[in-house]
Amino acid sequence: AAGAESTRPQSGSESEQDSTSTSHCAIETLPEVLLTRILSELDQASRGRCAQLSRRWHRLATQPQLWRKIRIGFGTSSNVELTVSFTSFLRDVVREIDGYSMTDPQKLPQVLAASVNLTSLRLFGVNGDSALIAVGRSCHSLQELSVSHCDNALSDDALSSLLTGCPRLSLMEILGKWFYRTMIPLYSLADSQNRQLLNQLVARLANLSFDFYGDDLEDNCGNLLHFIPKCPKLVSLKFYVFDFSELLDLLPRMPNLEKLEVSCRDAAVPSSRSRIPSLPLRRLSLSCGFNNATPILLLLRCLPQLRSFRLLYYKNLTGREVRDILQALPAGLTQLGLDFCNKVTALDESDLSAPLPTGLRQLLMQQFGDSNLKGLRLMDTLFNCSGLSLLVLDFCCDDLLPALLSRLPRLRCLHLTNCSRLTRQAWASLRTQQVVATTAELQNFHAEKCSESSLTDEAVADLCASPAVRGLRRLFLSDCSRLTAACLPSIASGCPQLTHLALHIHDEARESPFPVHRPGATGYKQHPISGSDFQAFCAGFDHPVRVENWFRPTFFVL
Amino acid sequence: SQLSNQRAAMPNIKLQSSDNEIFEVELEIAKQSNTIKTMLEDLSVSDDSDDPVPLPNVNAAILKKVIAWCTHHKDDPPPVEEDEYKERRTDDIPTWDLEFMKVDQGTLFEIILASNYLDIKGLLDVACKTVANMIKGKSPEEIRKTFNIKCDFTAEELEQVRKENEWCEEK
Repeated sequence: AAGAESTRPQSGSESEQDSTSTSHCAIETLPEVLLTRILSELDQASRGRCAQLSRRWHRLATQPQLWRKIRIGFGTSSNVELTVSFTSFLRDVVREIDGYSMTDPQKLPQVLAASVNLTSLRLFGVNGDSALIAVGRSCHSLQELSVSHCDNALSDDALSSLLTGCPRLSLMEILGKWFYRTMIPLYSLADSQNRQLLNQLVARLANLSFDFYGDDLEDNCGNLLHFIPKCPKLVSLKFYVFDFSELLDLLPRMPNLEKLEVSCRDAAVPSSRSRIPSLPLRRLSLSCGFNNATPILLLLRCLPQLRSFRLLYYKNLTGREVRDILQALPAGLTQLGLDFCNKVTALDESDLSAPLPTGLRQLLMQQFGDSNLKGLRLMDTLFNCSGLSLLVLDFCCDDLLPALLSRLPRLRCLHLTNCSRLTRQAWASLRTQQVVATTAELQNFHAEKCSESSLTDEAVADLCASPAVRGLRRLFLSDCSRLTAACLPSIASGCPQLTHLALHIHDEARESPFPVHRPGATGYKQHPISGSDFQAFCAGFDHPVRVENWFRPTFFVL
Repeated sequence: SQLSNQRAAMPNIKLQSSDNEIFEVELEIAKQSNTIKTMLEDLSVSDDSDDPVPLPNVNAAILKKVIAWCTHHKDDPPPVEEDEYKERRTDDIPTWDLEFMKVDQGTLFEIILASNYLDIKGLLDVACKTVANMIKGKSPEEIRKTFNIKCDFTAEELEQVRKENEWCEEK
């Protein structure tokens, strides 16, 4: 503690002495390049206030490079003369605008007309029809357009205006939530002119994202892309299809698609004769709830170049089907995320014995449910993936934990989201671990939902004696109501590089009714270790350490 | 103890402030300054050279502060190799640095000048952020008062720049 004391920064009386000897230096004496640097650390409102200080500060604070990206609320303070600022220093300068308001935009056309070099525009809660007409009229350099919660954004006039006025548009995002009722109707299947305009626009894009959720989904955007012609430019697509067969129809029309994120609400089982030509897709995120795994298997078979696969499946699957999916994985996969929303029935150890792609670097197995899974058979195949660096597992057993730490040499990040099956034995076995060639060099370790009886001060001491945690930067543990301040010295000595410690206690009373895969859904309560104990802990390190008594349950998105 | 032996064996260099005070520092600490690092390479100064490196732009009081900062941060962990976190940090000045930056304005600006001249990115970042935090949330008049900035706008000009920047407030 004495050593830590001596590294405390010198402040107080000593710095007061400094001030008497060096107080000539004022902010006005700094070179302008440094003042500009300070201005670049400011938010837009503070920078605007600096422009009002003096002539010199006005010149500095209105330099073009500080105003490439701005935020504007359109609906409020009708007296604001946006044109004044846009004609004086923002004209030609602005490249990106975030515009938001829940009311009709009076000022938007003015701002857009003055922002002649705009390349990126995000609009939130404005009238989509009039906004996009103004965009097409003014923003001839626009490349990226994102429209959130804007009603009537895909009207004939809006689409025509974008088609004529924004020839360089290559990215478009349309986002909405069910409660924005005014957005509906978004797109009318009966209207062939509207459909044709949308098709023309989509054919120009490299990136397209339709992101809706809500009850009216199927009526309003379920078939949005149904009649789309061939889109050879499309590289990245996020959207919703009502039916799996629609997806099968659609994919061959997008021969260069590399990244697909798709939700499929329901599916009639495709006939076994359904065939899709091989596609160059590299990343696939599929959120679905089919009646069985057949559509998934069908899809995986035609994606030989797939590198990243994320599956969120929200209906029941059997263990046998999980095994089939594992066996159908493309060999070149480097990222795999499986999330079964607690709905796997009859899952057996042997279902996880299918060989995994050996090049896997990130593996996430989340929400496998409250099965009795130990994961021992998974271990056999996992250790062929010697390059694995991130592993998130929803299950663990006493034999698996020490094996993970000693047989995956590239493992940097280990998150065990359900440690309820671990006993004291698991932690005790870490104490005697020797350094071997395949010892993991963990930087992040999360152990969640530990049984309170197993996660004791001794268990933490055992963990911190393992050579695998010697380089640990982040240690997150829950549920640890049994832990006391006595565990802190073992963490300090076992993990000298630590930068972030979080110890949490699960709070059943505050459990959220939302599905557990929603981040932040679960309540946590404060840890009883005192603040002064944590402070003393931090002072023992040579570098800053962040300590917290809560964290959000792990939820990864690849 | 093996670690501390290594540290003891590390070579030192001498730094000379503008007011001719000499500071002896571990080479590894001094090399956080890219300016010093480049000087040593260019001059191909051998490690056991006894000639002090002249730093004509930094006085002893500030050099002392800079060395204290570099000493504290010499063992900072290198960036994490596989960082899976995307959390947003608004309070990203570490506690020690916050304390370190509790100095009078003159010293703070001299630290900015010195860290810029010596090219110590981490120190320049944290010092500029400290000044930015002193500006944030203040009205123009409060900012002028804080930093003793003279307003040379006419009343009409002042009204015009106020209008010009009204939209920034996002209200």
